[in-house]
This record gives sequence, structure tokens and C-alpha cells, in this order.
Amino acid sequence: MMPEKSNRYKYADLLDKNSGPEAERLMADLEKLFTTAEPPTYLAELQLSSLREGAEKLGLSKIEPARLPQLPSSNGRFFSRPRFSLAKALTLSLVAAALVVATVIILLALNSDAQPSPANGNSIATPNKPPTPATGDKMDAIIAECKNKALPDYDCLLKMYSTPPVWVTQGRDLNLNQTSNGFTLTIRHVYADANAIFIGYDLKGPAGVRYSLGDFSLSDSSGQKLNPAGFGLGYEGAGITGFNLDNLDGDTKGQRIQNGTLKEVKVRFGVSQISIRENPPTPTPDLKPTSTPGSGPKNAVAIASLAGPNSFTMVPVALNFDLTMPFNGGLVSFPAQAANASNRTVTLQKVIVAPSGTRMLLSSTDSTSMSFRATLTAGSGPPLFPNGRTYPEQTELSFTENLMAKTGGEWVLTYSEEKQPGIDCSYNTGSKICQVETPEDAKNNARYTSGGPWTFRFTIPPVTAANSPLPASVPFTPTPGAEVTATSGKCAGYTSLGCAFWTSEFKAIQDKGLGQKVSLSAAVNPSLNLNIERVYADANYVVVGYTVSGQGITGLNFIPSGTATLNDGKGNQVAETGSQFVEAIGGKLGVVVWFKNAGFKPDNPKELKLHLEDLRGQLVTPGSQLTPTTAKASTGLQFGPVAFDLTIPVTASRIAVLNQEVTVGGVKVKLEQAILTPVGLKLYLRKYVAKTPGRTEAYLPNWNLNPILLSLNGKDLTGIPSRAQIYNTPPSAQQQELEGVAEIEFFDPSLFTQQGQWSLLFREALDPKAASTPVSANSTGPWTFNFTIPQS
Amino acid sequence: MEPYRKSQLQPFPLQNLAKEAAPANEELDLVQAARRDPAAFEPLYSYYLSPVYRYLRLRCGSDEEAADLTQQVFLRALAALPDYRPQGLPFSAWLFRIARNAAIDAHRRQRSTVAWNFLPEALHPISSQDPESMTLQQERLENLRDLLAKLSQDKRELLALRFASGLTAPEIAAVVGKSEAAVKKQLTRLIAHLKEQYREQFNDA
Repeated sequence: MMPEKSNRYKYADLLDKNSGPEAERLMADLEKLFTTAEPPTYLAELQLSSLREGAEKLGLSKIEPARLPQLPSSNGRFFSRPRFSLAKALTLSLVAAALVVATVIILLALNSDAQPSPANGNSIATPNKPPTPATGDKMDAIIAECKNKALPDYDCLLKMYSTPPVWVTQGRDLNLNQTSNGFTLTIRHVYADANAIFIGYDLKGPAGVRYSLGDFSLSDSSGQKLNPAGFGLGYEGAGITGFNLDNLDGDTKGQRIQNGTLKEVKVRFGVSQISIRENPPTPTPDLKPTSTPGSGPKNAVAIASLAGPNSFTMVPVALNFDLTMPFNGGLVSFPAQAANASNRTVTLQKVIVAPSGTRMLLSSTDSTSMSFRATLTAGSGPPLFPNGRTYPEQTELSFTENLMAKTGGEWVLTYSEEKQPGIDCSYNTGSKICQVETPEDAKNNARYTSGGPWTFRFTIPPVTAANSPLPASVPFTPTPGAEVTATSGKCAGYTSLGCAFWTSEFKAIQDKGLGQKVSLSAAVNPSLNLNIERVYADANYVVVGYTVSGQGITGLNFIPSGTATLNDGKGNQVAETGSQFVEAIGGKLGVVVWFKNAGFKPDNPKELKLHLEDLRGQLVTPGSQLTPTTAKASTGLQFGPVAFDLTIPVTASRIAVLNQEVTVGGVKVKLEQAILTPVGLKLYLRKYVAKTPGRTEAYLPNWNLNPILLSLNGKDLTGIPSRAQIYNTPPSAQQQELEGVAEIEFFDPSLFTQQGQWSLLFREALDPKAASTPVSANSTGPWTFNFTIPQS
Repeated sequence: MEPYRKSQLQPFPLQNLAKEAAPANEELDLVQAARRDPAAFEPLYSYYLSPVYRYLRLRCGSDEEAADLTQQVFLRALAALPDYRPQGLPFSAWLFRIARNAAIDAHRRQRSTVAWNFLPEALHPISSQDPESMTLQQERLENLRDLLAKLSQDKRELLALRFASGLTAPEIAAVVGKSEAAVKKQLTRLIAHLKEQYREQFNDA
């Protein structure tokens, strides 16, 4: 572990050259006192997702400008109150009108599923939100991939979920299609439980325009329309939409759900209008129109009416699907529990618990606030934070978690209402943060009062056989001996192990087939098998790739745990340095684990004989998938320890023993070795600083190398994936110098064959936070080393 | 399909050293990215969570209140990010200005008379020292805590922003609305004052 940066550097602005150890000690003590408080773990782990949801509610989802239609203006509030009562809001005309808006702006919520609620044109709350889709680079990659297809489809859309939600893994795959007015709608997948019905579809239409469902509805056998769930995830050419079934077949009390007689759900999905938009006149690099506007065979009139890029119009269609889907359980409870606070009574009316999520309906004796917060503790679990919608008569809270297993114990729901500045202050400051000191805000201080909290303690009857979810889908069983590769996504064309290699520092092992394929198996229990499949060693690393397969291995429900070790039987032992894995493909989950080749000198220079031990893993509870939370849980099937004896061929490396010393500003740095392997280049550096007489520090202050520049024959190699690791070594009593070791790695297999003059230059940053100032003013150095690396 | 690391299910951690070479620019990149995509706010959140929480914890009566307020601060920041312009105002100063306003606002709403419940009692255990040293250090810290308690709220805030949140003098100046020179002067005087008092106590100890 690295020590903190020296206080002399950190607080240089508060110390002068005459400041002695006492002043530094004062700095240290002040820092210690002021940094005692640490945020609770849940703030780091759970609030981040809550923050994301807040962002969605605030309408901050990423929307591509090229695809952005004219959105109704948002007031930027957490939740917007519909101008109509819920009952009115659900009248056909309003739903139809709102659906037009909602569907026209179906968007690929790149990191969210934010979409206007059909019941509320301004609301961007997302009840019944599915598991959080992918974000960041992964999402960008998926989008790019979908865009590059002439027509993205439902399968492409699903790739944004690294862990498929229950409404994907359960339910029923269909392939029903109808064509109307030039548009073909294909229902791909349907799912229903007590919380919601989900429908996944593909939509294909004429070239030259972009299109999505315009006006659509789901109705039961009596023709009664079901409430939109406020969830939608769409893309041109594909989408997933959701509906609640609170009033399915007139059973508003959910009696058939409770008594288990609802086995199938029969509904009609009807689409009466398709929204079309013109392609932009100048294709953006990331948007490839399939042809020129106006070439659609049957919609020339409609297309011609488009006013310009991103304008839209509706094309009438008649598409109606009668759908039957298995019902996946859940339960409905009516606590009817009232709580009083702030001179108001709030009643928890209804709770729906299902595999796809949990919803709660609250009513109030007075109108509810537009912004609120709620926390649910279900049994002994961590606090959960909902999405929600508010209406004059009621508030709907929606939790994404499957809480079926939490029924039977006490749940505590705390609900409070707030009108705090910053969130709910757009009444006078627009989108700006409220400056509460302003006279304008002072005048509105009354708005800052909050209501509640109202606290509800209740118990949901435990799940019984009557309302249990259906048995899990039968896991995919690969043909024995067959190597199954992913057919899509980042790992397309790779096995799980291949993909784990390919996405790690050791990409070259996969790309170039380095090391040796082996097949060493160990059955770790009657249903799980561990198989060592590839081993690799060079002068820097020993790398082992293994798979875990067997019943229940699917998606990401297995995680390696513990710390594997390697030893050579001669007193040398190292613990693993790192490991990487990806989801299971074809029932096999691949793991790459690597060790520093520290001191394993082969008797036969071409191979290492090593004992690998303490491989461990954990299968999370069957039916669930791995998340950062479950990964830390101790529940689930433990696996291992497993041990193997390995004989690993040693890949020739290029080694330069340099021991070059460069002293700058009295600081001596030694470049000890450069080791070039087919995986990349690793440089071993050591820094020496004289001990201060009378000081007791045992470690060198943190060593901030910044920047680090590598070049070969004058060509700058900056940009290669790289990593710098800094270590400190406690000196012996006799040593007069403190030592720090840096290992700088550049992972690029093409370096291995390169010849010539290498040059490494680095500076030491004194205060990384102040790097916006000229580098030279904020750093020492540079230290420069020129060297060559001989052929192996 | 995302690769995972065993420890924290973190994605592949390799970084481009060119980026590491300019953390301030990297932060600006992150801010710009977060303005386009809220998911990109995550690293900023992770980085600033502790400093913001520590600062607010010093101004709140309980851990829970500080945690609540911390969440509000980040939400507000996320909401206001499209309006943030980096010119002349570092992101850290902008964020802490929000935190400061949130704290002021929270106190107004609560009509609380507790202005600063700073410096929690629990202290980090001091490792690699003998019991005698540990006792001495504990005593020193207790004394220092008493010294700080005697300072005015403004002065404590400057110290909190410097030591709890790790802000530089220019950043603190932007947060509290004073000139950089004034903040530097105040901090220097404050430290000199503490050093003097501290020396006396330390020598006594």
C-alpha cells in the first residue's frame, strides 16, 4: 500500500522553507482530524444508481442531437404533476395524444430508459424501470454496432443489458408479424407478471425515413386498455414497451394473482399510427440513412409532408396482435396503512411484488408534493430507492428490485415530501441552481418546508406456490466438446475464455495463440467442473486461463474468489496479481488469472513447473445474476479450493539489464531492467531518497510519475495501453536511503519485434491536482533514459 | 459483454498515460462528457464523494443528514452541469459552492442552532507506532480539536475546505466568495496561530 503524499508537498502553500517537522506534524494532525468522517458505504454503492435514476428523472439522459425531436419543454423538476386526475389521464383521448408524443420521442436512452410517461407529457419519471442498461463505452459500442446495421433489431437492443432482465430471460419468444401501409411489425418477445407486461418488437418500414410506433395500446379481453407502465426502450426498428395490469380483466384486487389462478395473460396489442421522421439532409458520420428521403413505396404522401429534418408526421396503420403469454407470478397486497405527519394522512394502499419489480401506491388526504423521497428497507436488506410518479390523488413508487424473496418479513417504507431549492426551485431561477441567499429566494422561503416523514411498517404475506415465479428457463447446454462462441456483442466470435483474454492486458495471448492449450479438469462438485485451458509464461508474467462449466452457469452468476497462488516447490511463492472474466458463453465462464513471474527460474529454461493452488469461486444464488452487491455477498455455492500441477512453456523474452542511474535535483532514479515480451514492455525503476536525519518515516513519499513518455527511434509511443504501478519498500535500519519502485508497462504485442533506441522520459508531479499549470512549474525532473533491448 | 475484475467488478483498468499526464484536463474531459452523458458523471462522483461528504459532515448534526445532503449536492450538480462553464471556475470550486449553499439552505430549513458539529470523536487508529506514541498522538489530536473548537465558524470552514476537502486556496476563494489573496492570508495566519498554540500544547504534552 502506498503511503499518502508527503505533507510538505501537499500543503506547500501553508508551509515555508523554515517549517520544520512540527509544522508538518500539525498538517498531518489537521488532516487526520478533518478526514475522519467517511461516507457510508451505501452512499458509494447504492446512491450512485440512485443518482443515475435522479439524472433520468431530471431529464439528463443522453440524447443524440441528430435524433432529437422537438421535446415538450421540461420544467426540470423531479416529478411533474399531471394536470389531470389519474382517471382522466387514462381516458382514451389523452392516452392517445400522450402516446403520440411519447412514441415520437422514443429514444434510445443510452444509459437509461427515460421516456415520457404516457400519462404525463412532462413527466420523465420511469416507473417499472428494468435493470439498469449498460453505460459508457460499452453502451457506445452497442449503439455503434446497432447503427451500423441497416436496421437495428430487438436482439441488438437487448445487448445494452449485460445481465438480461427477467422479462428477457422469462416469458415467451414469438415471431408474429403483420404488415400495414408499408410497415411490418414483428412481436419478438412477451412477458407478464403481477407488476407489468413487457412486449419486445421489431419494426420495419420504407427506406429513407426513421420511424417508431406512434399510437399503440394494450387491451384485455374485454377491450379495457391497460395503463402504460411508463417504461419504454426504443430504437428505430425495435423497441420494448411496458404496461401495468392493475385492471386486467376487471380484477382490480388482483384476486387471480393472489390465488394463483392467473396462469396466462391474453391481451391485444394494437398499433394505429406509426410516427415517421425525415432523415437529416446531411448524414452525420454516425447515422447512415439507407436511401434518399421520399423513396418509400406507399408513404410518399406522408413523407412528402415532412417539414424538414427531425420533423415528424403520422402514418395510419392497422396492426393488431392477439398475444398469450405465461404469467410469471407475483403478489398483490393491500396494507391500507395510514400514517400521520405534517397535519396530513398518507395511506399505503397497495403493494405489488413481482419478479420484474415492486410497486407501491400511496394516497393522501391532500395533494401530494411534486418532489419527494422514499426509502424502503425490505427485511435485513440495504435501503432501496424508488422511481415514482405523483398524481393529485396518489403517488406511485416503483422499485426495480425483485423482492419476492423478501416477502414474509417486515418492510419499512419512509416517505417524505420536499420542496427544496435546487431541485424544485425552477419557479424562479429556471434551470439554474437556486441561490438561496437571493432576495428572490428569501421571498419564497415558505416553499422550502417539507412534509412528513410518513413511515409505514408492514408485512407482505410470503410468496406461496400459488404466486411463485415459473421455474427458471432450462439453461443452454452446449454440445459436449463443442466450443461455443458469442454470436454478437463485444465478445462476438470468442469463447468466454477467449474474450476474457482479449479484453485483458493479455490480449496478445488470445490474438496470437501464445502459450499452450491444455485441458486439466477438476470436478469441484457434482455439477461444476473447472478446466485449465491455457497457460502462458514469460519473463514478466505467468498467466493461466480456465473455465468453469456445469449446471447453472449462465450469464454472470459465477465469480472467482479468494487469492490463487503459484509456487515452484523451491520456496518461491507468489499470489495472483489480478484476474479478469466475462459472462458465460455456452454454459462456460472463462477466467484469466495472472501472476508476476517473480523468481521462478526454470531448471529447463524452456518451461516452468509450478503448483497452482487455492483457485476458488462462488456461484451466486441460483436464478440470480452477479452484481457488485452480490459479488460481495457470502451467500451462494462456494467452489474450491482447487489445485493443479502445471508445466508451462516459457516464451522467450528480450531482457536488458540496464541499471542506468540518472540524478536530477538530487533525486537518483535507476532504470534497472527493460523486459520486452510478446505481451508488451515492462520497465523496472527504482528511486532513492536520502533519509532525513532525525526523521522516522519508513516509506518514501508517494511517487507521482507524470507525464511518462516512451518513444522508439524518436517516434512517440504515447497512447499505447499502459499502466504504472508504484511500490515502496521499507528500508533496513542500515540503509540510508528510502526506496520506491515503479513498474511501467506498455501493453502492445507489436513492440516485441521492434529494434532501435528506446527513450523513457518522466517527470515527478508535485501536486497532480495543479497540473493545469505548466508542467515544469509543478513537477521535478525530467529523468530521461535511453536504452536498447537486445534480441532474445 | 463487459470484462470484470474480481475485486470490484471494475472494467479493464488500463489507462492511457497521456491522459494521466494531465489530470486537470482529464477532469475537464470528464465534466464535458458528463454534460453530454450523465453516466460519465460517475468518476466525478466517486472522486468527490468523500471530500464533499467530509465537508458536509462537519456542517451537519449526524452522519445520516450529511449523507442525505451529499446526495442532494450531487443531484443538484448533475442538474446544473449543463450550465457549468469551466472558464475561471474549477469544477471542484463549483461543486463545493453547491455543497456550501446546500448546507446553508439545510440549516435555514431546519432552523438549526447547531452550526458545526465538526470533528467527530472517533479517530483513526494509528498503526505502526508503539502504545506510548499512540497515546501521545491521541492527546495531541484532542488538544488540537479543542483549539479548533475555539475558532470562528468562518475560520473552521476555511480549514475544512483545505483539509477535509483538499481544495487549494484559489478553489476555496471561489467557494467562499473571497479573493485568493485574502484566503491565502487568512489560512497562513490561521496556521501560524494554530502552530503557536499547538507548540505550546505539544511542549506541554
